[in-house]
Amino acid sequence: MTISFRTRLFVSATLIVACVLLLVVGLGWSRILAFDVERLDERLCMEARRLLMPPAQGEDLQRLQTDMLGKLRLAKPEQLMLRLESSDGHPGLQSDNGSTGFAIDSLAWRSARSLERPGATDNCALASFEFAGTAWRAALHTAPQVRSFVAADLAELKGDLHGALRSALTPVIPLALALSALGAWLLAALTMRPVNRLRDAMLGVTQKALDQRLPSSGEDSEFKDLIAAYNAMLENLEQSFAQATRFSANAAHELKTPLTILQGRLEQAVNNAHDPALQAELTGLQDEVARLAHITRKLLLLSQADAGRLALNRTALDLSAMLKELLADAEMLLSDQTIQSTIDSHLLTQGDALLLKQLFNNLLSNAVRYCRAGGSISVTARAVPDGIECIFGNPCEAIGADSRAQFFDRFYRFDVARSRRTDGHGLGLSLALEIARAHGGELTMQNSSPDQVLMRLWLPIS
Amino acid sequence: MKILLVEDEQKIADFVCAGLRARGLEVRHCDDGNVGLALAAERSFDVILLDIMLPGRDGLSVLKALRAAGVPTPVILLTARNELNDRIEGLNLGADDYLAKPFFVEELFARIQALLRRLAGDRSNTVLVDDFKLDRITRHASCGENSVELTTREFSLLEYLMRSAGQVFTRSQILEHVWGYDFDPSTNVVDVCIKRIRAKLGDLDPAGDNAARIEAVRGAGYRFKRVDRA
Repeated sequence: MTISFRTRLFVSATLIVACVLLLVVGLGWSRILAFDVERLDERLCMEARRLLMPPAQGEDLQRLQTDMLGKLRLAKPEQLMLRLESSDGHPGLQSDNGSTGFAIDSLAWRSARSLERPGATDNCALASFEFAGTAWRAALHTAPQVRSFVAADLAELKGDLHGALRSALTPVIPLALALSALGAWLLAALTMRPVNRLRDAMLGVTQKALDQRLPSSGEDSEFKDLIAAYNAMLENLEQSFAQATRFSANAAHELKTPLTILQGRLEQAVNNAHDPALQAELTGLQDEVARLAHITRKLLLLSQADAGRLALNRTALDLSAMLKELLADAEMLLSDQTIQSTIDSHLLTQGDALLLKQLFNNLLSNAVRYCRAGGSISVTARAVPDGIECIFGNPCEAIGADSRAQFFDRFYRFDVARSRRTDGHGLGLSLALEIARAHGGELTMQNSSPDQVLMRLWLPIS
Repeated sequence: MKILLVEDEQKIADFVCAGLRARGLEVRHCDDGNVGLALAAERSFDVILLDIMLPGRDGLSVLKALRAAGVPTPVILLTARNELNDRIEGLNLGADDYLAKPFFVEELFARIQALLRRLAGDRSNTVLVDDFKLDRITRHASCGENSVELTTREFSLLEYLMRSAGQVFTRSQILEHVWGYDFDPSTNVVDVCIKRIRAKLGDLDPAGDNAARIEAVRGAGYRFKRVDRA
């Protein structure tokens, strides 16, 4: 399964945003917690100091505790520990849970820095500890004779914080995720836009010709590089294609002079030969030279078509008459096959008579050549709204889709046909295609059952 | 009959000259465009055969200069270069016919004859060999009272053979003349067409031996036999 580049961009962008969001929330949480704990520390120190103050002595423990619960924002008395003891360890005031037997001195006390007086150390020390399964924070205030100990359960603080965060983030996180997903989707689309534009331009070039180049103005620098690379590739392709075309044109042309001499000399020799055996030998050679000349002509035409220089000598033509004349030729080539033709009369168009004759001839001779023994070749030609349509059909040995795709390839000859006596050289269809194109028409193989070949030729009216 | 051949390839010129001379034509050959133009301007030739790729001055330019100078001598172009473009350009410039290389001298000879007939205003629309008559207008072949209609190809083939009755034509020569050089030479279309003509000629006079007038020369080709009346 292939995932589109846009989807991949979208998924990765969304994942990155989600991770960042989680990180921000996590960091924010720990910073807020640290800040709240600091504030709590301050209050704990204050309360511890207050516990030492004279008015507090003898004051009702109950009231003191309630007051402290309020100041420290605790909900239940169990969440608060109080203890006041003299420096010799004699306990004074203490809350119900304050007597629990752990040694205050065993805690890792750290002296607090007062916020009111930054830098100065107070005689208040702070420590964290675990008690009854929850985390606590304690302050110890040491005076010359007594020290006071105040501890608060952090569960309450964290609970508050959790609640606040949850109520704040519950609507925000999904909204942020949705927004970032939307943003990622749009971003992916934005990223793909120049790529799509490039693709369309490339398609345009492929359909036109190799001498087309992509314009790079107005594109971003990365795409400018890409376009430059693509144009350079086209340049190379065009050069080697031109070279190949020139080569086959030159080769075909250079072959003509020796062919002309060969054919002329052979003709002379045939005329002068009086021995029938020698004459037969020489005319056999003449036939081969004629074949060679025929192939050379086709190659020259093909190379001209490749170079886009297939010159047309357009004249007004009656295709109906032309087809009927060529059908008469084709009929002479039949062995046990038949031809059924439906040719509309007066199919008029502008075109090159020689080339169109060649085109029809190639299609007809192919139909005859590959027609199954005893089969019937069908030829129809009719006017359609936008031009002239000719369909050449013949029953044949079953042909697979692979072979069909290669029908227009040069020098391609179908294998089943090869096993029969065939004389074609596989240039006819490719040349027919080029001639049709040069006339602004098209030649296509129609879908049909495997044992049928249907060629459709369409030519514009003018 | 004087022919001027302007062709720079010596070997081609050799067999063309030899072939045309053997057919009774007088041929003058030169291998340079400028020389060819000077010779042609003398107006002493009946037909000019002009190659396109020439040293000095190319064939199309020679043709253009000739026509510009008002020389009316008919010109047949021998093209090897970019066939179709040359053909279009050549005919526009006032060539009377063209022949693409490689060609048969026999075909060249037929073209020269046809051209001269046309220019001589030959209005005779019949070809006559012995008692055999071929009508170019109705495409009928007749012998005595009977006549039979021929198809375009059949007529063209029979006319080709009858114009040089007695001479043997090879299949390739016939194919080039009747079907043109774009027809696939590896078919047996010539033999089939000959067979059909023979059948039609045979029908002309069931009692006679007309079909045998077209004789297959073993290994070589076909000819239209003249009846030796002597």
